[in-house]
Amino acid sequence: MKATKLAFTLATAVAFMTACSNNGGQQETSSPSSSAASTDGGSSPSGNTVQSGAFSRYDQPVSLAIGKMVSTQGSNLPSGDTADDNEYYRYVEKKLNVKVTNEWRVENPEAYAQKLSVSIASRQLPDAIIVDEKQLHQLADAGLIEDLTDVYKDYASPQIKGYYESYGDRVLSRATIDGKLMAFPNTQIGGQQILTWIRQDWLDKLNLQEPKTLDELAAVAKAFVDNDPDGNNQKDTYGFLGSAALSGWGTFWGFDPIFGALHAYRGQWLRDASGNISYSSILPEMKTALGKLHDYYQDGILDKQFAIRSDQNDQVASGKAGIVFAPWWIPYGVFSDSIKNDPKAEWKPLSVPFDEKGKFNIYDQNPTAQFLVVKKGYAHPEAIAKVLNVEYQGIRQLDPDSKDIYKGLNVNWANWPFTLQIDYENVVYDTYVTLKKAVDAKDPSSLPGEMKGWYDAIMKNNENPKKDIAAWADSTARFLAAPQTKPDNLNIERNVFFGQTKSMDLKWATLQKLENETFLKIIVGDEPVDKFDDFVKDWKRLGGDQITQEVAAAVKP
Amino acid sequence: MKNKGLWMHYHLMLLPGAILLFIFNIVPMFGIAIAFQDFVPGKLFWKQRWAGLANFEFMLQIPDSRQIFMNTLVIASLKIVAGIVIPVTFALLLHEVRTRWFKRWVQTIVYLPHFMSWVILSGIILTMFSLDGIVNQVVTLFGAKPIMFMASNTWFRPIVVACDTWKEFGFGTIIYLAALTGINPALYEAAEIDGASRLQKLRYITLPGITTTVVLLSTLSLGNVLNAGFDQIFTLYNPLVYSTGDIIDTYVYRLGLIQMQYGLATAIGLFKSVIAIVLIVISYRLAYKFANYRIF
Amino acid sequence: MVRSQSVGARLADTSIFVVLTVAALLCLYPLWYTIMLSFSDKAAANAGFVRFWPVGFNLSSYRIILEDAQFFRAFGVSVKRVLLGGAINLILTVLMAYPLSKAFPGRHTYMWYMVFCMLFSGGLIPSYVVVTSLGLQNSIWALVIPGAVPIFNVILIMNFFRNLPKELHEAAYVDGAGPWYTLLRINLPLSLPGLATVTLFSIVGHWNSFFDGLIYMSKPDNYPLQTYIQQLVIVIDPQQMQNLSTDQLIQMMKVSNKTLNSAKLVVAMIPILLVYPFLQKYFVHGIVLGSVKE
Repeated sequence: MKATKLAFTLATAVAFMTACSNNGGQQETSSPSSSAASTDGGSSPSGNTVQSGAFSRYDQPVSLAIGKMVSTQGSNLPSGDTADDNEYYRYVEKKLNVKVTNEWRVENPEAYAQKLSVSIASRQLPDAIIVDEKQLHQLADAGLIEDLTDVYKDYASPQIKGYYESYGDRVLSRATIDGKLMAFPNTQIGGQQILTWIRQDWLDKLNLQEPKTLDELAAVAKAFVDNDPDGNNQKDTYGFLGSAALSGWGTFWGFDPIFGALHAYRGQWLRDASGNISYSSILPEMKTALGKLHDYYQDGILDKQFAIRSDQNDQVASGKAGIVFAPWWIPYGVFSDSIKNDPKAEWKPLSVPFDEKGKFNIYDQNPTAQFLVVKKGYAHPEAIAKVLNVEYQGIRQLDPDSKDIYKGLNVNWANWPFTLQIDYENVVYDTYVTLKKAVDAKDPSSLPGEMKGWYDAIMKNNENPKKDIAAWADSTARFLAAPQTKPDNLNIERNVFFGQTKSMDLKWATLQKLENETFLKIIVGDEPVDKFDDFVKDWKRLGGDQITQEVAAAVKP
Repeated sequence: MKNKGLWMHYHLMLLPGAILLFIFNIVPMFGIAIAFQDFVPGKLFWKQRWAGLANFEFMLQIPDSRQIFMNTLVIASLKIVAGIVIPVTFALLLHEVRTRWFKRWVQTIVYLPHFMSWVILSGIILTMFSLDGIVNQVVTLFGAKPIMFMASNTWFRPIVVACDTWKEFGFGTIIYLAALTGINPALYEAAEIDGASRLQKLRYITLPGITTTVVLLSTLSLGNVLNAGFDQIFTLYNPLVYSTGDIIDTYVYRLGLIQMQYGLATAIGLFKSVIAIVLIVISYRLAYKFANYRIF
Repeated sequence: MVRSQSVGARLADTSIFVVLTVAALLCLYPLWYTIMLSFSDKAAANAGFVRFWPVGFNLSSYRIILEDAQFFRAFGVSVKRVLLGGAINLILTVLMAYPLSKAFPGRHTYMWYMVFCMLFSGGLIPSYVVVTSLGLQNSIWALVIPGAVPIFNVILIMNFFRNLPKELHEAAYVDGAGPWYTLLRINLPLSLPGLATVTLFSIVGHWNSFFDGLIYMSKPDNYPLQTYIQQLVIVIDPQQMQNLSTDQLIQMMKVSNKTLNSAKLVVAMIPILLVYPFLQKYFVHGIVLGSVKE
C-alpha cells in the first residue's frame, strides 16, 4: 500500500515539476522540422498551429519513460549502441527534445506479459506502454490512463491518421471507450491468411499439376505420402501436417485453407443473409469439414501424430513435408532451415484450394491487438503522438534526416521507442506492386530504404538462388508470397465481433475445451463424426446460446 | 531459573528469521483478500468491489470442475507416493553399494535431470514416446502394435507420473542419503557380530534410522496434494487427453487467456493452501496420537 | 568384508549395480542430448536430426556465448546471488533449526507460524508491492532477502538436530556450555551431511530461479543468468502469436536458435556441476561420530 502511495506522490511531484519547467508560453512553437510533415504527401500546408504541432520541437526537454519488449538477439545494433540508447532514440530527441527512456525492458512476449501485469496490478506504470485489449479496458475502468481523443485529433500526423483510416473505423473504434479514444492501437496488417505452400520440386518429380480444388490437393498429398517424392525409397514423407490448435490466425499448419474450401470457419461470429449472428464452429459446414479431415486422417494423408507433436518444424526442416499451411512470412522461419538442409527444396505459395465457385475463402483477421496507452497524469500526453509521428517518419524514411541512420545494417525496427506496428491494411500487397515495378525496370532509385533492402535481396537471390538464406527468405516472402495475399479470387468472411461478453468470462474456457477436444477426437476417430451433433447441443446448453445472444446484442446497432 | 535465560537465547536465535518471515510472507497476505474481490488490476486495493464468495462459487460452477479436480488429485497423489518410494528405494540401494566411485557417479548423474526445464525434457519425452520413438520400437519388438502414448487417456497419467519421478528422484535421494549417514556405524558392527543378514540389517537398523525423515517428508509433501505440476502437464498434454490430463492449473491458465482472473486465481490458491494445511495437521495429529511422535 | 560372499549376495550386488547403472544412463540422456545439440548445426537441430551425436559439428554457439558480454554479466549476478543468498539461507537455517529442535515454551507457536508461512501466500502482486516499497527493486537484495528463510530447510535441519545423540548435549550442558557454543561446536560439526544437503538445495534454488529476476529487475543488464537464458529461449505460443504484430513475429522467427539455447544451458550448468562434488562427499559418506571429540 505504502508503495502505491509513494509512487503516486512521486508521480505527482514529477508531473508538477515538469509542468512548472514548461509553464508560460507553451511548447508549441512552429519548428523547422514541420517541413518534414509536408514530405508526407497530403498534409495541408495550412498555417494551423495545432497541425504543425505534430512535429514541433519542445523548448524544454521532456522526458518519457516507457516499458517495452525488444529482443537484443539479432538486433544488429553497432557496438556501443543498446536497446536503451541508440540512434533512433537520439533521433527522436533531436527532432522533438523528448528524451525517451526505457523504464523497463524485456526480451520476449511471455516476459512482457508478466512484467506488464505486475506493473498494472501494482499501479506502477511507465508514462506510456503497450497493453492488450483486456488490459486497456481494465486500465480505463481503473482510471489509470489518459483520454487521447484530442491528442489524436490535434497531434497525430496525417501519415498516422492515413494508416488508421485505411481500416475504416475497425481499428480506432476498438480503442474507443465511452466515446473517448483511450489508446493508439496497432494495426494488424492484412494478408496474414494461411496459404498453401507446396514443394514445386516434388510436384515436378511426380509429374503432378498444381492443385486447384480440395480433391486435387488431397490427391497431391496422397501422392506425396505414397510415391516417395524425396526419392530415398522409404515411405517417410507427409501429406498434410496439422496443429492441435487446428486453426486460427498465425497458427502454422492450421487447417484454414481446407476449412475455407468447404465454407467452414472456426471460431468466428458471422452474420448470415437474414442478419442473424451465429458462431461458425457449430454450423453444419464444420461437420462436413471435420468428416473430410477424418477421412484424410484415416487414409494416412494427414500426419497421424499431428495432435501430439510439440514442434512440427521438425517435419518441414527435415524435408519430409511437401505441403505446409502457413502465412506469407514463413520463409523467415522454418523454411530457411529446410532450404539449408536441402537446397533442392522449392517452396511455392498458392491460394488454394478453391471452393466450387473458384473462390479462396478466408475469414477476417483481428485488425488490432495492441494498444499504446498513456499514464494518467503524464504531463505531455501529446508527446506520445509526436514521438509516434517522428518514429514513423523515420521508419518509413520519409524524413531525409532519417535515411542514413544505421544504413545497411538491417537493425531491428523494435529498437525504435514504440514497438507499435502501424501501417496500411494492404501494405504487403502494395509493397509487392512497388517492388515489382522496380524489379521490372531494374531501377531501385525510387524505393524507400526498407524496400531497397528487399530489392537487393531479390536481385541477389535471382543471381545466386539460395546461396544467401536471408536473401532467399526476403525474396520468397516479399516477391513470391506477397502477391498471394491478395489474389483475385479472394473472399473474406467478415467476423462481426472480436470482443468479450459477460458470460464468456465464466463459460468460454469450457466451451473452447469442449470444442477443441471434440473436434480433435472426431478427426483422429476417437469419436464418430455424428458426435458433432451432440457437441452442438452441449455447446448451446453450456452457455453458447446465451453468449450468442449477448454477441448479437453487442453488434446490433 | 537457568532455563529462562536459555529460552531467551532461543527467542533471540529465532527472532531475525521470524521478522523476515513477517515482512515478506505475512504482510503480503493482505493479498488473500483478493480471493473475495472482483479484482480489477490497476484499481486501488480498497476501491475493488467485494465479491463475497463469488470466486469460490465460480470454481464449483465450472462444468468440468469435478473432472479437473479429480485429475489434479490423482496425478498429484501418485506423484507424491512415487516421490517417496522411489528415492527411498534408490537411497537404500546406493547405501548397499561399497564401490565409492560408482556410488558418487551414480549419485551425481541421477540428480542431473532436476536441472533441466520441462520445456526441454518434454521435447525429449514426446520424441521417445512418439510412434517411431524408442519406446514403440521396444513395443514392436514384442510383436505388439505401436501405441500412440501421448494421445491415450490410459497412458497419459502413468507417463506423467513416471517422468516427473525420473526428473526429481535424484533430489529426494540426497536427503535420504544424508539421513543414512546419521545412523551410528556401531549398530551395523554389532549386528554383523550377531551374524545378521543383509536384509535383517536393512529391516532393523537402516529403515528405523530414516523413518523420521521419511515421515517428515511425506507429511510435508502432502502440501502438494493439489499441485500436479503445471509446467510438465502444459508441455506434454493436448486436447485428446483433456479428460485425464487437464488439471486445475492448466485450466486456470486457459481461463486466464480469456480474462485475467486474479480473484479466481487467488481463490484457487487459497483453496489449495487450506486443503494442504488440513491434511498436514491431520497427519501431525495422527503421528502424535498413534506413535507419540511430533513430526515438527 | 573379506569373507567370500554367497552366490545370493553376489547376485544381489550385481542386480543393484545393473539397476543403478540403467537409472543413471536414463538420467544422463537429457543432458547428453542438450550437449550434442549445442555442438550441432542449427538447421540440422531444427530438423530433429540430432539424437545421440552432433550433426554438422561446429562450435559457433560457444563462440557466440564467449562474445556475449551480457551472458557474463548475468553469470556474475548469479554467482553473487548464490554466495550471498546461500550464506544468508544457511545462517538463518541453523539459527532457527537449533532452538526448534529443543523443547521450550513458544516452540509450537514458532513451528506452526513457519508451516503457515510455507503453505499460504498472498500472491505475486502483494509481494511485489512489499519488495518495491522497501526500495529493493533493481538490487541484488530483492533476490536474496524475500526468500531469506528457507522453511523447508529449517524443518529438515531441525529434524537432523533432533536425531543427534542426546548424551552429547547433556555432557556439554554439564560442562557449562551455552546454547551458542553448543550449536557451533556440537550441532554444526555433527550435522555436516544435513548442512551440505540444504546448502546444495539453497545454491541450486538460487542458481535456478528466474522469475524474481524478471519481476524485480527492470533491465536485462541486471538479470541473473537463468532469467537471461529463460528470456532467450523463445517459445512461440499460438495464443500469444495472435497478439503480436507481423513484424514482431518475423523478428522472433529469425532469432529462434535451438543450438545456441542449448549451449547456453550447458554453460549455465557448469558451476553447479563443479560445486556438486564438494558438497557431495558429505552426504554420500557422512562423517564418523567418533572423530568430533574435543
